[in-house]
Amino acid sequence: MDGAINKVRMNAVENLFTGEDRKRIREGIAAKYRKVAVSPEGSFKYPVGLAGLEGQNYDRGILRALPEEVPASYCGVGNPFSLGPVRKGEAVLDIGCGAGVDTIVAAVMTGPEGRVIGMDLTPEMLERARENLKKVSLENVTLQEGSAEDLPFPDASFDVVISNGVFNLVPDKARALSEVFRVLKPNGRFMLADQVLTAEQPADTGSVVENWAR
Amino acid sequence: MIREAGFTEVELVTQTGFNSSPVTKGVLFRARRPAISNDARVEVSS
Repeated sequence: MDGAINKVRMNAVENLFTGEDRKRIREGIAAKYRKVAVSPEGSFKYPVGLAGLEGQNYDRGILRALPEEVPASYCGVGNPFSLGPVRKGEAVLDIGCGAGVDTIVAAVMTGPEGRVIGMDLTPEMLERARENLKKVSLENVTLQEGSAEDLPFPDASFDVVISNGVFNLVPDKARALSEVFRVLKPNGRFMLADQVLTAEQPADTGSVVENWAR
Repeated sequence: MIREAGFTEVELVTQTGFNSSPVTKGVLFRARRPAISNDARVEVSS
């Protein structure tokens, strides 16, 4: 592993956030992703859409079978499916599903005997996910609003939890990770693509909150 | 932090090359919930 990642800094200044800070963070995330729901082009510093999916080596067979509007909405930071298989018949949760591209890929992989739930905080992204879902013939997907910090599912619900570019946006990461643990079945797998900070966080929470969703 | 939540086989697998800023890097993690639950996970206070 590249020596440049010598620390994974999560949950440092986040411990100091007030309720107002968390509200501003949620509003910043909502504002950014309202725009992303229309199109991710121009909102990220890395390739998005089909170029992003191909750059992260998603299964070409699955991508080719999708209507072009579905891959066009991808804005992930990696390929969670490169970390291990999603097997036929498994139950999968996609935390922060956004426009639903990973949710749809997982649904193809798990097949009609499996099920996938895509969950997101942003109503506009969920609406885009619903539009994408209408374009594909999949009956094993449900989409719902929810927060990573308070997953609306019983204990031991899922064989696999995936997430792509989301946990870096979650203020209380420890709580969210505890929730992932809770909803996974024993021996369940967590496959995460995300951004990690490689430098010191600013000391003031104001600056951190201001740039949270940037 | 992932281990503190109770996960086992925690692995920072690789960088993705998709970096959102000059001070962040895209990475892939995987982890597993143990087959037999233990009491090691952090209790989250409400």
